[in-house]
Amino acid sequence: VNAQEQAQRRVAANRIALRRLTFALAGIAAAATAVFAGLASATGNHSSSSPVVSDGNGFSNGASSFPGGNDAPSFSSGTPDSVSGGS
Amino acid sequence: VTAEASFEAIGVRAEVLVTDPSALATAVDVVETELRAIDVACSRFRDDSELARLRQANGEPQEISELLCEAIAVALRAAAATSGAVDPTVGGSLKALGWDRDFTLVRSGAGPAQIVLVPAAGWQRVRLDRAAGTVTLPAGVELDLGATAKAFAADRCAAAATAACGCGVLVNLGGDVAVAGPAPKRGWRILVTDDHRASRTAPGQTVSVTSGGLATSSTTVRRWSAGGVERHHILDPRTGLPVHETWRTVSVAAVDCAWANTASTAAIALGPAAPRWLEERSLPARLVAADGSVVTTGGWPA
Repeated sequence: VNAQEQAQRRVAANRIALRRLTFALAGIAAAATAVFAGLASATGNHSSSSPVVSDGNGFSNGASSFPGGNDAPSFSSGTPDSVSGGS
Repeated sequence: VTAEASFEAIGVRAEVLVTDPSALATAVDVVETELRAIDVACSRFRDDSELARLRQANGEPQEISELLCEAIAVALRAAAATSGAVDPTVGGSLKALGWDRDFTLVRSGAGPAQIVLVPAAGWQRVRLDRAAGTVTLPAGVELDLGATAKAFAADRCAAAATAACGCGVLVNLGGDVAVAGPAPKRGWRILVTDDHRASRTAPGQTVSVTSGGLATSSTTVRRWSAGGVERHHILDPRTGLPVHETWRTVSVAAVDCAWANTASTAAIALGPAAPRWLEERSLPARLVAADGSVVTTGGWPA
């Protein structure tokens, strides 16, 4: 079982490497396009490994970033009302 | 003065708390109605669910309800926000590891003697057309909305209950907590710990929240045996294997529970990179390492 799993891990690792290479190449192509178009600043904070979300899903990288504005929890020593844990 | 009720739903313990005790029955009724709808839309284990029917779509666009559309949108949003660390196309991966039915049955069974690793199909391959109300999955791709649907449901339940009752409401679905309406003066006190079924005196930390959501993801609760090895349910989408347990439990507070759960699940998947990832997003979080040591980020109370 372990040998089979190791072989499968190797296959998965190869897939990851291939995917990273694809992302890297896509990133290089996107960066080159942006430079030639004079739009280098439009690449913003996104690294070449961040997949670009397709329009078909109705999202953009900007729209999918985490929203802020909520207060952090504060310390409490009282009896809890509820429990947050794994499930 | 608050009142509370608890019951079993969608495979977890559900809790409803209200600031007006006279509104408890109404709030519970609203929450139960919402959860029934979520179950029919999003369950991976009901043959009659909308999600199960997508398995027969064979790559063709399928009309789906507004509720499932919204649930898939939240799952894809989570994937986009985490660069795929939280990916809803792990349905096949989980099935390959033996989680193909209600978890109580998985845990009590022997589990598969051998496993074949199935990496996630890739969330970018899911085409959701919200205007048309359709989704298209490549043939053979199965969605699992487990990482986000519970938190999404908590948000919906809390919003619907406070709208119906006109008071403050806390809804806790298996540790995914959403609050809506006016909170009690001292806030909603929540114990964060490994297991949502733990007693309120269990080891952990009690914090107070007044709005938004608080979610906890943990590798300690949902575990089973597959291929002769104990597994947990938070997978690396790239390999289809459970992620290395750098963190056993992560709690995050955010503007709502769906965002909180997206971040807590991603943090488990990201491993050593998680504290920095959370800090960069100004997310208050508490991370418990496998050895029990604690790291906090984003203004989480020490």
